[in-house]
Amino acid sequence: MAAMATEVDRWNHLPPEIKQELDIYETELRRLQQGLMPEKVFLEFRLRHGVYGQRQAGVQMQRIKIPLGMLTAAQMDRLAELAEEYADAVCHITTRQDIQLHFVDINDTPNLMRRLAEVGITTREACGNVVRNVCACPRSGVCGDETFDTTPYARAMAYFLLRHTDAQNFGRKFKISYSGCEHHACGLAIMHDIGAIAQVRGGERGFRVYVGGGLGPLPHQAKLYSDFLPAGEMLPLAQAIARVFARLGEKKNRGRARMKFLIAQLGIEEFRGLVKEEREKLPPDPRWTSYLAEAEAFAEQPLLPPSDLNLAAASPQFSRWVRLNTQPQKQAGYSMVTVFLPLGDISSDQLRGLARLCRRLVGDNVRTSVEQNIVVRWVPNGELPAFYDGLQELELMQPGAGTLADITACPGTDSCKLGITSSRGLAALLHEKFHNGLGDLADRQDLKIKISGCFNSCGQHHIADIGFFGSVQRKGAHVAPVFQVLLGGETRGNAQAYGLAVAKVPAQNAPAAIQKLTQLYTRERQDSETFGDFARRLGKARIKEELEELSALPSFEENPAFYKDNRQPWDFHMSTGVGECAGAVVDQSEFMLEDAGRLVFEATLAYDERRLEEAAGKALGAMSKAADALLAQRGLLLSDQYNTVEKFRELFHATGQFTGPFAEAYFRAAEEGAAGLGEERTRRRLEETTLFIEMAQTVYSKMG
Amino acid sequence: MLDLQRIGLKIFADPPAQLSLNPFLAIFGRWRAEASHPAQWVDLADYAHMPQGPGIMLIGKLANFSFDLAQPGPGALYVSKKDLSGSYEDRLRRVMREGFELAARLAAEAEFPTGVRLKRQQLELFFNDRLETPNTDATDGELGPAVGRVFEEYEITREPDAGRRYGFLIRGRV
Repeated sequence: MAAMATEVDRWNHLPPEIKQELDIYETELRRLQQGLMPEKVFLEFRLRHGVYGQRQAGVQMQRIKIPLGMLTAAQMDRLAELAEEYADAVCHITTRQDIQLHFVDINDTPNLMRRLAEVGITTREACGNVVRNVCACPRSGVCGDETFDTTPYARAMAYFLLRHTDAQNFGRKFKISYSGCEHHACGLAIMHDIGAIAQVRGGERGFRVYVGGGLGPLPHQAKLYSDFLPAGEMLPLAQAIARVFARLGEKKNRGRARMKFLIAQLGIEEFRGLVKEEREKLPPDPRWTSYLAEAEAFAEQPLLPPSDLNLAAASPQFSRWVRLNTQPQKQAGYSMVTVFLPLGDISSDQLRGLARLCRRLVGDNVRTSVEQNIVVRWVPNGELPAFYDGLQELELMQPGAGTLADITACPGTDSCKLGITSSRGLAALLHEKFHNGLGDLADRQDLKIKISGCFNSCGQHHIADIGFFGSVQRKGAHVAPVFQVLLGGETRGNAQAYGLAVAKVPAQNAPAAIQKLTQLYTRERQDSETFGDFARRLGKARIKEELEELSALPSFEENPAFYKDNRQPWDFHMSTGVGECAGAVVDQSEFMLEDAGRLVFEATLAYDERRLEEAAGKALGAMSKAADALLAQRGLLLSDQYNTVEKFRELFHATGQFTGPFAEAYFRAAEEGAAGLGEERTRRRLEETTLFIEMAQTVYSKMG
Repeated sequence: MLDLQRIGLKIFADPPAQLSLNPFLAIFGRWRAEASHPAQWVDLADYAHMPQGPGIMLIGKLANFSFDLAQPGPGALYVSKKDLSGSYEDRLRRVMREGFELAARLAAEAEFPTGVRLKRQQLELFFNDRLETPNTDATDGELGPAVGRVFEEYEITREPDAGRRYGFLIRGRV
């Protein structure tokens, strides 16, 4: 008991609500391990803490939410430590600006989360059927093309919806992104559930809002919801949309549970009408607008004064790096530097070194990007050589950010249960080839490659000029990894177009296919047509013909190498499991009943330690939680303002659905409160609470 | 007594400048299929694309083993994760034994690159748990004597940077 007290005391410096949340996580993990919690409920519960089972049994991926990709140097140091101690010493940047650690033991996750909390990071709602990481252009605030800096607005959205009671009962994940401009790729607004593009009308800041976009196996472009919505309306809009999605979104058929399907079914006009109705019913929340004044005045500050750079005597390597990896900021004398991370990976030593470099030259002005790189802002131009030298010591000076060599890839079969092929293996092979043999293509800035390990599009293959997603092909008794090739997607214009499948190539031939397609484009491109326009003009038949030789799969006897995946020396076999991306649809009531169970468990612990008032209070809280769980089935949401005891009496007790001594015990406890009950009455309350929850479970199980 | 579970031992190597890690892919690709290995191999992690990175890693539930390229230099790296018991010395000796055994096995594989030599007299030891063993004088007071006894034939130099893990560079006495 003393050892446990010391371990608990260690974290007393955390904000109380965060400490409690993480203590609850650990309690539920232990309850699961003792067989006291249903696996299905724990699955969704741990996903909502960013803990995601890998395809390899017994290890987890920990997804760490980094809202807008914004990182401080202290956070980078801490991430480096956690990757060393709990994972494989690598932080992986995702296509949604998160960071992932792989091969984590689930027993390490509570302290991993506590140590993140010490530096202001939460993993809450990084996965699961909730609002995922809110993304924003990593150039917000420093880009010359932006309408205004979306940083404070996107950040307000991220923290408003985090843990919001109206965003806990979705049938599927929900994704939001902010963009400062119409034309560039950075925000990818049109492929999100809510995509916001900065606008100014009559001097007022607002957003063009798109809804219902999404990739997955069947990509949908978002529909225009509003040409201009004032900034102060964005948070209530999101809340109203959340309520409509929670109420009407599909929950049984996981393959059709994203909001894009709901909007496709209803049509945008009806959806808009429902959202407006919901918006009008919302009780006002001061958080909707309390951030606005500060947001108008928001301006990131550099660490060092501006300066100029003279490239006259610069080495060819440095000049090339400046050309490819830096961009002038709208603030004179500064540049933004993209640290190019092949496959989105950065080692602990590198991340720690980068933190040190940033402390010296830019402060906390660092963002991850959806291209799986790190964008460092506010580098004074005169300090670019010093910054480059610092990156060189860390082996992070590779030029090529944003070029053909800057490939996006999902984790694929390296760790994902749904992965079919090794997307990272192909990306790594291409990375190697761009240094040897395909070097003439590496610096091309007019083409993007994106690779997914399956059709679910976590690698965003739909919006690539040349996209690949993993598949299989059987020949005789053997199965080979292949990639479906998609052409003509566009990240420009906020993900304005999705590619179309043209051919399948064996995984071993994918690099040759890229070479062939880029050479074809170079040879036959007309004027300045984009690759997408070029592909559409040539037509699917012609392109398929060009790739025909590369599409052929030799037999195993002819060439067994084709039956291994890239960078995997063992024979390929298709082995997909049940994905966790879709989590488990756990009705909010189930979560609340489980929570009631946890509260009475904690009440019992408090009683055993003679903390009687605490025990009595938790027991009452447990009964109220169970009552709220039943009320949720009657359409009441926790954000609605109602008195639980009165509503329970009206809707369940008076109707005869939940009567008897345990209902009476609840009413009595609500009147008595928690103080001064004494040992015997507290003990009785605990017993009554347990039976109240059992009765609530029975009533819930009979409800439709 | 501190619960030491996460201990790393690197046996430095002297590879040529442009060493390809592909041979380790082949070697660990075979080892990963050994279901009965005490480390309980989970899978192989390929980080060959990262200069000064973790190289090619065999991830296990009880330990990881890799040909690692990170500073202070490349080498065979063994990192325990759990299942250590006994005194501090017992745990350190077990890590040494298992690390050296795997390194010897690695060096004996047919694909092991020629020209690469594992230097058993040049080691790095680190304690991979900043909660249990922060890099402080208090930790050194607790563990230093045990490290000294296990490595009494060696010269040991403690990691001075408090931001890095508590650990030592270890050189055989000439």
